[in-house]
Amino acid sequence: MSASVEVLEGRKPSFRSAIRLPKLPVDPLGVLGLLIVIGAWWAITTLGLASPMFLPPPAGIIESIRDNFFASPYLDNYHLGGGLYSNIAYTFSNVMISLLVSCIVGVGLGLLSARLSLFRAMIDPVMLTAGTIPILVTAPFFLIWFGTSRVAQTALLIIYGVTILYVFAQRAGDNLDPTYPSAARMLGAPSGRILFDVFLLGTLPEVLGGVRIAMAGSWGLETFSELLGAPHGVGRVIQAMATGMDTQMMIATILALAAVAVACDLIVLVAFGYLTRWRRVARL
Amino acid sequence: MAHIRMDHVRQVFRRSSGDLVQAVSDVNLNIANSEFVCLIGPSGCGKTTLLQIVAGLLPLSEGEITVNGKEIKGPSPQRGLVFQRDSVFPWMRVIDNVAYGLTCRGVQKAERLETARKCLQQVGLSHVEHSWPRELSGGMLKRVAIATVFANSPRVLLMDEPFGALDYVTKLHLHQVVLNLWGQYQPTVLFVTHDVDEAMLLADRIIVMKEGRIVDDRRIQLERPRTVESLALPEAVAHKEVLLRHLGLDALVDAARTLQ
Repeated sequence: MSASVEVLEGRKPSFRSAIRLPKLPVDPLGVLGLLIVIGAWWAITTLGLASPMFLPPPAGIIESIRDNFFASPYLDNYHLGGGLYSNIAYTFSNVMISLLVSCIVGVGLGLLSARLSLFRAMIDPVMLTAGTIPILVTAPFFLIWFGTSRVAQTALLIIYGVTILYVFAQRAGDNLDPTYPSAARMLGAPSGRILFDVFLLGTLPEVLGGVRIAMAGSWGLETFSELLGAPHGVGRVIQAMATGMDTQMMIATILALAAVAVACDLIVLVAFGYLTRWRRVARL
Repeated sequence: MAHIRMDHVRQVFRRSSGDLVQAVSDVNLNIANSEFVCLIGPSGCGKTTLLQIVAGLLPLSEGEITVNGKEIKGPSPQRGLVFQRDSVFPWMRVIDNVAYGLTCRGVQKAERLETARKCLQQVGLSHVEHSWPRELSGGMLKRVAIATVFANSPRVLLMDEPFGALDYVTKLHLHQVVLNLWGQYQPTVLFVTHDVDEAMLLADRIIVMKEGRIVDDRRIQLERPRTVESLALPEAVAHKEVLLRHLGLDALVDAARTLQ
């Protein structure tokens, strides 16, 4: 029996190794850089080198988030009831709904186009054209078509997400070894099963990279779309605060959204790490 | 068990330039129940194409291929194929890979796991059932692929140069695994290889293909179990000389004769 076999014998995966949680990507130098920026910010504001109107102190930002998070009479004045939490929840839900729809549509179309050349010939020009148009310039059209409702923002995000995920899924489908679908066919797998068990699971690592990119872009795009017109959301809060020249609350809102976006990215990273844990095992 | 019959099989491909290429030309072949047939020939002679047609992965241009009298109309779990390249899904654990064909057929979980474990035991891999394929060596992956095919209880076993990339010792171990399973389940085997020694160790019959046609059909009546020493028997040497000449290695055969 070879050494490799002996090593594998009797191996029972522990809960941790079964889940294989990836280590959080906390780079000590990155943390140091962040601390330097915050330290410099604190020093500038404490020494009075910048007016609080242009650069409010870090403590003030934390205070604004704390005082306006769950309820805020201040934001109520701007018809943005429910505090920062409610507005962040609106932005968050739009991003998540759009991402979900984008994943289903973009990945589905991308994988189908990788398998069916006729379908690819028909859909490629549409998707590639959609991908080359700067997405921000289409935002006013959605405002005209759907008004300031949630549909306008989510539609914009869906167009953006679908084009990204289509390209990622198509490329991943093209790169998949054709032996795998043939092997599944030989074992009696029907087309639907091959699409899920082989094309979807086999391309997951590449597709998930696209999901993260789409999600990262969606936060900014959603906020921009809300700035143009929305009933609620972080973009609306920033717009209202800009009108009132309230820099402190503007920065507080942006940082609160950034914290949510980073938390979402870490959750997605852990979830994706679990789904693609087979890639991280030691290779013989 | 299955009887394979090929009548005037012809396969034509169109190149991107528009030219037609005849990969298989008028092949007629009968393979008896449980026969172990090796298909050898130089690279590009059409042996893999013929195997893929029998597998149902390639539609036939002309002619007819039947298995137990039924025409082949596509892939079937009744015909298992061990690929030259790795076909074990890296995103499924070993046990799930072996049970995959049964899962597709809707076999109950307990039953399919039992069958998968039995097949893994037969290829000597019970201890890695929960491992990921990436944790296994090339030889172990081939064993998993063989177990996966046998879990489906195929009547026909098709093997497309399955051990071409493996080292000599691993190859010999795997020959034994295949011969043991063949002895136990008695499928009809069509084994494509370019290795004359491998064909002589395994086959009841060796078919030689050249430029899409069958040019030789030899019965190998060496006693089983065969060992590496069996290849030195006069009958084996005579077969080998002819087979090597078919592969265009006349100079090698002549040189060996001169040395004798």
